[in-house]
Amino acid sequence: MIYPSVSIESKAYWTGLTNGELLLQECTDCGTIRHYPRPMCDNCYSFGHRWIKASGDALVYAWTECHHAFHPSFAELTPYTLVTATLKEGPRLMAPLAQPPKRDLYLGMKLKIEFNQVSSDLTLPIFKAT
Amino acid sequence: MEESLRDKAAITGIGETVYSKVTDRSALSLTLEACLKAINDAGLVPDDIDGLIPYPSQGLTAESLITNFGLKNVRYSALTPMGGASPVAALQSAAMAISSGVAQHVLICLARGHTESNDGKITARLAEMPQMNTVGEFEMPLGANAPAQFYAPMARRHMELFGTTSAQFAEIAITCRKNAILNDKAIMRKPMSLEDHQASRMISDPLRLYDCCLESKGAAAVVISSKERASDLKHSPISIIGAAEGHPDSPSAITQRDNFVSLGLAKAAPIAFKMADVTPADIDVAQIYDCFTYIVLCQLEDMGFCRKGEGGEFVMSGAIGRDGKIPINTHGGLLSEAHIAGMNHINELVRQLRRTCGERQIKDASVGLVTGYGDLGDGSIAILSR
Repeated sequence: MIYPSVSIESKAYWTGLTNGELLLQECTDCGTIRHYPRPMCDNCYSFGHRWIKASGDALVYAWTECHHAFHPSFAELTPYTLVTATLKEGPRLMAPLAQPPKRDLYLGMKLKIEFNQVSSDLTLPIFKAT
Repeated sequence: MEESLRDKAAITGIGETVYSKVTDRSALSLTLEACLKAINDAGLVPDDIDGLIPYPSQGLTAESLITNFGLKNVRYSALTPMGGASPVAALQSAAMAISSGVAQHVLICLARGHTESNDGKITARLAEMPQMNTVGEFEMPLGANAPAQFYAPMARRHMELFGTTSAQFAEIAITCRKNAILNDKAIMRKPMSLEDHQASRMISDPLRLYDCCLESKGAAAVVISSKERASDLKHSPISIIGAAEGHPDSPSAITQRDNFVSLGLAKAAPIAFKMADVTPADIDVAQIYDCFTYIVLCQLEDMGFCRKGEGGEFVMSGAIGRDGKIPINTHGGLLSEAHIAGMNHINELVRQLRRTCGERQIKDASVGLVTGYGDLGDGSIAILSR
């Protein structure tokens, strides 16, 4: 297992996953939604933000099927598919595709975010084909 | 502005160690050998060096070079931490230091020395790099742990958008291998066929093993000198006529990038071409950073050798072979010579422009380019002229 080194800026994101929610930062000045979590809005340079809950709807943007594990914790999972998908809210999210892997992915295919509790203190997002 | 670095500095010395799969020598030991060779090749002595741009890996620092060579006159040191884009980006920084008068002879070096084992270590190594913070926190826990897995989605999207095929990626690997066969220094010299490529195991779809570069040990170095000093040295100077670096939008997370099928090089290349006052049609030979076959294809498009989306057809046309329009990676590249993070590409371009490449010499090579690519899409380019 690879545990994230959580920062003061990202703590809410990881806590959200544990609660079964995908949280994104929304600028309180211009409304731009951003990901990954960071201190400032790159559209208006505001430091103000609130956390909003993503709808969970996403469209396939790119993917890779991983056959070689570069880290021992993923050796038993190969082959696994990592999908990059565009969230309905705008930003993209990378997440593994739920098992069993679906082989006929295509650009724009509809996905839904689910949550995979991999240990008592770590929950990761996964994508499921709808 | 566009002419700012044209013809202000030249590569006057090159040096390389033996390249191998494993070594029992430290990165520092290999570095010192390559540096000494480059300094000798320039016709200089170590104390002539007054600028240092080491590649920040395996503990290599300007201080360690100063200590080991006993350098007394260093007045400029810098780092260009852009992964595989670093050595070529360092050419720009060296040219800047020289054109401003701060330094006369800048030494750039890079080494990959002895490590206990690479098994499972790449993820830890990458996670420690500050420029990998975002990927380290948000993508590595998901199972994206190494460059092949970071870049494969870009290759997949290129295939889906433009119909690019694995056989087209193979052509790049095969071209590098054909060149490596003519290069005694190259680690991989067994002929490669399309069938060999297609039979190589899948690493991170669509990237097969033969789409991935080698992991190698060794060191390489170059000396950059002011144009005035360069003319008195051992070899005819190879002039830097254009140089630039470019950072993609969202440089720390590929996933958030608006243009997924273009790299930082797309921003750097027009600047370098304009500075050099040449176009892609004027380039006789190109050493293109080839950590993965797809990255070469994308860079050919980003530099304007063909249009975006046409890279697959372009490489199949024979354009990148030794007799083609734009011969690439005449030493075999990272795919077949060795992975010295592109410092070996600079060495090879200088040899081509000195016309000392023997059997693999590109006839009448006068103007060439070298690119770097690193981290999550940083790009660098230098255009050199004899």
